[in-house]
Amino acid sequence: MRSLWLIRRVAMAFITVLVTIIISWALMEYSPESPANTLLNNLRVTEYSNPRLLIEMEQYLNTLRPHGNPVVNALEYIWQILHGNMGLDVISQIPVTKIIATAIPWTIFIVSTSLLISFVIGIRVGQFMGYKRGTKSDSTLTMLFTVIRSIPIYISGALLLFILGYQMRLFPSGGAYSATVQVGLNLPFIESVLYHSILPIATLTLANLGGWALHMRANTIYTLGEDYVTYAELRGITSRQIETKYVGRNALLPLYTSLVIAIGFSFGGSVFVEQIFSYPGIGNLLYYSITNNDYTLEMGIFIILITAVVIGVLLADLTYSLIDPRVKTGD
Amino acid sequence: MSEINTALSVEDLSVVYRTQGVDIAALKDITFNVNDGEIFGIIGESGSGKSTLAKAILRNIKPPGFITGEPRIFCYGRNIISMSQREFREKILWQLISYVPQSSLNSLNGTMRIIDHFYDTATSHGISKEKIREKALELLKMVRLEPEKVAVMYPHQLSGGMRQRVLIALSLLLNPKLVIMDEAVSALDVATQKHILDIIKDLNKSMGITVIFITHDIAIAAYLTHTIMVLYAGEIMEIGKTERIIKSPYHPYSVSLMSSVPSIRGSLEGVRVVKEGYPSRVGCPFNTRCEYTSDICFKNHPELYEINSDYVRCFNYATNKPKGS
Amino acid sequence: MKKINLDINEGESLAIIGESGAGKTTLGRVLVGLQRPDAGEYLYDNINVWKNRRAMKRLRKEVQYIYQDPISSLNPSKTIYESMSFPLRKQGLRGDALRERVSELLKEVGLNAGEVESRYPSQLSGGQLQRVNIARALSVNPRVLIADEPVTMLDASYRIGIIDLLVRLKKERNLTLVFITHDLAISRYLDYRISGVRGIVMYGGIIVERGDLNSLIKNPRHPYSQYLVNSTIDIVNDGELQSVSKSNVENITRAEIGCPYSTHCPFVMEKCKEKEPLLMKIEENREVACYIYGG
Ligand SMILES: Nc1ncnc2c1ncn2[C@@H]1O[C@H](COP(=O)(O)OP(=O)(O)OP(=O)(O)O)[C@@H](O)[C@H]1O
Ligand code: SF4
Ligand SMILES: [Mg+2]
Repeated sequence: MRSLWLIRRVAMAFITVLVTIIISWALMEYSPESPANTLLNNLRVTEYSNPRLLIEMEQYLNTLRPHGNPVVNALEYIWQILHGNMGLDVISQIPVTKIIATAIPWTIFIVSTSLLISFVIGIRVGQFMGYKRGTKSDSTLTMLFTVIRSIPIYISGALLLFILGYQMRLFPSGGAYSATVQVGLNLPFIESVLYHSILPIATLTLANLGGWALHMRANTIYTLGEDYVTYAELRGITSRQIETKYVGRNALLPLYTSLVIAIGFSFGGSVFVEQIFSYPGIGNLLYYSITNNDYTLEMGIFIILITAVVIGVLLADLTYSLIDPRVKTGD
Repeated sequence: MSEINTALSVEDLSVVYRTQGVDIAALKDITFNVNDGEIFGIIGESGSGKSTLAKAILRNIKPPGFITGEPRIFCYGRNIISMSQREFREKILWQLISYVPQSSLNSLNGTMRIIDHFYDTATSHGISKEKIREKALELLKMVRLEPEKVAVMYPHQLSGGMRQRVLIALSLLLNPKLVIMDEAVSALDVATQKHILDIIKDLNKSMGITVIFITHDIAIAAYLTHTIMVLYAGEIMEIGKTERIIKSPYHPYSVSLMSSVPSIRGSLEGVRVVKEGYPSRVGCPFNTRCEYTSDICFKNHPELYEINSDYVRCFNYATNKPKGS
Repeated sequence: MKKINLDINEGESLAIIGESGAGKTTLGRVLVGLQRPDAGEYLYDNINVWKNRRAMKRLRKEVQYIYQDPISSLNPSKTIYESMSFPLRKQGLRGDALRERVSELLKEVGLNAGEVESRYPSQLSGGQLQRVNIARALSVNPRVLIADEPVTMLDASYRIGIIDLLVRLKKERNLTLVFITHDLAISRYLDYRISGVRGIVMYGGIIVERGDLNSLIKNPRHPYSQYLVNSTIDIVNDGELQSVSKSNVENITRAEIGCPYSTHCPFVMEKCKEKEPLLMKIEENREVACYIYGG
């Protein structure tokens, strides 16, 4: 039963990704001016140093050009993508996969760090608020988080940048590391990377913190009213154990899914932050490709972002049963 | 005040639930004694305050519920209501008084194995897992569960009846002298019911454990208990020896309760319909359903009168002296 | 539920007795046409209702079901009057005629219409709610009432009142009454009031014993019926109770092949584990599905 369910679930995820790829293909294939044709023509008149790359690009663009049988075209396109060929970047003429590969680690770095920080702080504070429900500290924090959460990220980011970066000059105003350090595994470089990441991470953390805290607060209050908590109190279980094993664990479980899914979504969620702090991640890249009509890059990023979301949801689904004994998958 | 053979004495206990600024009384001036070594039944219809009483004794009334006045509750001579919460948790809960909750379906933590509930209870009272394991398995076996198998299961893998039995086993873990059981067998089917009741009887007889048994099932109270206290609308209507209450109840409400239970062996002639209705707020709470009323029942509130060391709250017994005077 | 052969005659009273999981509710649902039997046929007035639309329509109207939980079968956001008038409106009643009919029905089940009509379900006691449910069932003039544990969720002091009501309705309207319960004492009281109730004991989805209810409870013949009667806690405590359970650890598995009770039965034989025993007449008015009595 379980293995069958597993196969079905993974297959579903795979199909979702395939559909995404097909949609991205269709957008190109059926857009009025056929950008692929233009690109292909440009390509033929440009001098290329690497003929192998040229061939790859030609193969790739061909599948996007409305000619011949569209089904065959689409299949060929999928074939290319699955082999990691997303074509060359229109402007720089570097393989799109390569560009994305350089940008992605930066995004993963700031996004996962900020998610982790906001999650850990958020659930701690949220549990505290839940326990203190109805008190002044709870209502103050609730109000504070509600306000912070409603500030758009580009405003909070810009504010942080303006005050801490430009006015007080505590942090650099952009980039991932300073131009003066040697890139590699050396202390000055690592220091510089960390230093540059503080503002973007702080902005993202701030944006996520309220959500986790309020969510955890609500779950905690709900869990505190459950019979098993009352019964644990009546057994004389220490309040520390009740807080962790009874209230904490049960309030946290539903958040696990949100966290894993959030990781998937956050790849695309850092566009504004990366833009504001000129951070060289995938979000910045997306912004750049859109403003420059950089089709191949745009499509590559699009596919990567959706795939991340699908994988996030899939992981959340598959691993939830491992951490929650109540969920037995497939039956 | 509390003699040595008194397991529990409760005096002047009142509880209200405060909803939208209005206090609704759930328990009014409850005063009673439970003798050491007896099975003390509390019966009453839904909403009569049975569970609230259990929670008040266990100091677990939470908002919107509040204890009002100044009740005194002694358990084996110890004033359990004035001691610190910490002392109560460490020394009283589960070591002196334990509890079987009413809702067996959601009383166990779904993220923990059955045995972990036993371990938690032990370690919270300074007893190590290793020391308690054997005892836990023994108790599971006693309630007719396969100990090794059930120990490692999660609550959702057990049926409602099996979970109820786990709760009964768990209540005995630290050898309490008094166990409060709130509808402990209501969720079980007939055969298991009888088996569990026989276990409780046996525990009471052979180990001298005192039991407060809350139930709405009169046949079960008759089978199991030595003394019965009848609650109606948060008040004590009658307290007396089980045998007497079943055969010749004093209070009109007790009379109607007893006559509303058919038997599978005895005669059915005495079975009668009881008038339906809500508790009254003025006069006697039972005056809306009572068949023995006189004018005073609608004006004044009856005291708890003493007859042959039993108690009854009804004006028809007003020639007897009120309790405590 | 496994194979069941059952005839219910017009105007008779039938008590279906069994514990949770015995298949009582499934049987009840089949009888009102809510559930289609996997095999076999269900005839109402000698017509197979799953093959005849009109017969099914008639069945749905003439056979009414009373549920165990009185509150969940009423819409909490509608007053009693609104809940009551819904089926009557479908019959074309309006205005004064409608109002009159509602209060007539409420009166028939022992409620004061003026008092309860404008209330919401949450403002009534369990006993009153169950009366409303019965009144609603009556509004379509049924021929058969199927009451599935109608008093189990009520407080003891309200139960007899509901049983008496069902008895009175059965007599006045000459209804066929199917009473599903796990409570032997209550079913015995029903028989005391109507007399001649036919009893059926179910276990593991089959009928294990069938006969005149009163004598069935007095003198059960199937090992399971005996066990049930002997382990029921009774208000008359004459010390006759004996423990009949054999094993110390409860066996929760039910036999898949052979007699469903073979895993628990103290008299189990090899044969019991191989083939399901069939209901067999062992004396006047008594059928038992058990190899002790032959077969
Ligand atoms: N949390 C609460 N908030 C408001 N009222 C409550 C609360 N808990 C109980 N009550 C009220 O207090 C009264 C007594 O309730 P309690 O649960 O003690 O009754 P009970 O005798 O245990 O009933 P049952 O047989 O249904 O378990 C009822 O009128 C109930 O409505
Ligand atoms: S005091 Fe009056 S109303 Fe109350 S129980 Fe006695 S006779 Fe009935
Ligand atoms: Mg209760």
